[in-house]
Amino acid sequence: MSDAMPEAQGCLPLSSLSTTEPVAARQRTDAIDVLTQAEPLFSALMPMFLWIDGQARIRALGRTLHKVLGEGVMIGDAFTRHFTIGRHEADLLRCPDATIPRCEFSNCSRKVGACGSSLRHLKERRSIHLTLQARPEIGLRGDVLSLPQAEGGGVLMNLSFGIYLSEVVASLDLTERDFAVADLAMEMLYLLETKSMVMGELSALTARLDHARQEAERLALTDALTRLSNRRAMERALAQALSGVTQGGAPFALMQIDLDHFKRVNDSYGHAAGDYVLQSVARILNETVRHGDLAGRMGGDEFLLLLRGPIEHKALEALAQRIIARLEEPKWFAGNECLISGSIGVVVSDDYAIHDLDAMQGDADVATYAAKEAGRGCVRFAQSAPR
Amino acid sequence: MLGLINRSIQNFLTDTHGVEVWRRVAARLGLSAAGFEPMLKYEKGQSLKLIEAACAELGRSRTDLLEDLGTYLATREPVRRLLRYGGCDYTDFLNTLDDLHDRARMALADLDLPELSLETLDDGEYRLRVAGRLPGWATVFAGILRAMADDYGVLALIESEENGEIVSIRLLDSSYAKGRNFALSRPLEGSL
Repeated sequence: MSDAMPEAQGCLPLSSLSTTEPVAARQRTDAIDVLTQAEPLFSALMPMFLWIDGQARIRALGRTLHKVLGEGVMIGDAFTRHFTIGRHEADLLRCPDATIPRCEFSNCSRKVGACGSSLRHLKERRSIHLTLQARPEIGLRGDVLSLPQAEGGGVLMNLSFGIYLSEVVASLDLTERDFAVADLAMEMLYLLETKSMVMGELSALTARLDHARQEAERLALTDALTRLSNRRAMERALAQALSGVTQGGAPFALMQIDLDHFKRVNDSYGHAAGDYVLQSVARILNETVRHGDLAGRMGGDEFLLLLRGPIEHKALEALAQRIIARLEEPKWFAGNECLISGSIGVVVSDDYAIHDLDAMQGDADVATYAAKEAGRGCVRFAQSAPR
Repeated sequence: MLGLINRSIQNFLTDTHGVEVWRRVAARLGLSAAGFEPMLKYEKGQSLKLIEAACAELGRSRTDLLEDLGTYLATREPVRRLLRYGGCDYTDFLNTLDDLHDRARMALADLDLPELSLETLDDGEYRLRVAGRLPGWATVFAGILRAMADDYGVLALIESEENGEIVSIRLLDSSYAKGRNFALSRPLEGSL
């Protein structure tokens, strides 16, 4: 089937190999002889070249390919001892010859590459993928040229490591001398090496920037004096809690705390005393709230607790009383007793049919004011919440 | 141009002269001690100011400092490895210096290394023309070539013209000492 193939694509124009001989002599020259003469040239130019003869035996190979196959490789070894055609089982093609009852190769396993006869069919292909028998993890790819069947057949290949370059270089200790100068292997290795360095630099840069971003964000959301969340952070958290509750998520309660008599402390003992009291309040709030709740300083002597999840009014009342009791404990600064208290207004998201943050905060304000009106140091729940 | 070069100068000052020297150089330039980010871009005037400030701080001449910088760079393992891609021996290495600019550009388009062209004069004598956008590259390369001669185990006489673009190289003994090891594949650690 492949006798009339010199014109076929992928076929080596053998006559071009020996240009110094007279025309008459060239015509008499057997193609295999020409190739044999040209073999040193091939080896020099293509360290990964492979010549398989018509009986599927290795006829010649380049020095780097020799290195890849190891010391054990011999001229005359069966092609299939060292290679499989294709990279995956699925790539293997059926050998058409195997369906012919008189298949001349007894060991034919019906796959291209498994016997010499099937190598004949490579003439229809321009490129080939091979897998090394000894190292199935390594694949080779390259050009493939079939030789005329009339002259004994066989196949020439010029192979390369393709994407397996790094693995091969690592496992075989290859040097630049093992590659043709025209091969881009060295550039590929160079790029891989610089790429991993650049990636290292870039991920270090990303880590530094991310750290700086987190730090900036923390500073932007933290009250410098008390280290509680600031107003911006609280507003962000409130908006999140609200959007959670409108989508059927957990309810929440807001507890607004206005300090009582704080101005008196500030005026009597100075700003340092005032700052100390505010920091004490922050510590009390941090120690009182549960994990998952959020305590914030909204400005001046006004604090806000965001209490997430369902809580009974009774429990809220008890919590508020506990906070007030701790606020009223005497605080000593530079030998001065600083006495404060707190007025607390509470709103609960469950009390609202329509969730509106402004309304809730407004009601919390009103409740806090009511607590102040009631004589300070007490807690009031929002009254106007329409059910 | 990429901060990589400025960062290398910063590392050179820190590693060879101490972090205090770097801090003072940074202060002269009004930079924070954190210095340069290797992967961010800076204007190229920065490198010149940086070198001037370092020379003033250390009381050293530019030629001295730049040659030392070259030696320092070529002895950083990642850089040494990339340079060793140039060839199996020092002569190969010299002959592929012409490719260095393009290889570096292939890896980092903004690195802006100088263009190199090697002229072979006589047996074992070469002239390397270093054409960069910053003056002083030839001096840096004199340091690099000297360090690489050591790396390949070669005895060579290497000199750069004062403030010029030419480095002259004379090979004296190409098997002077055993070169340092190099394999194409090697697990990478550290940064440029």
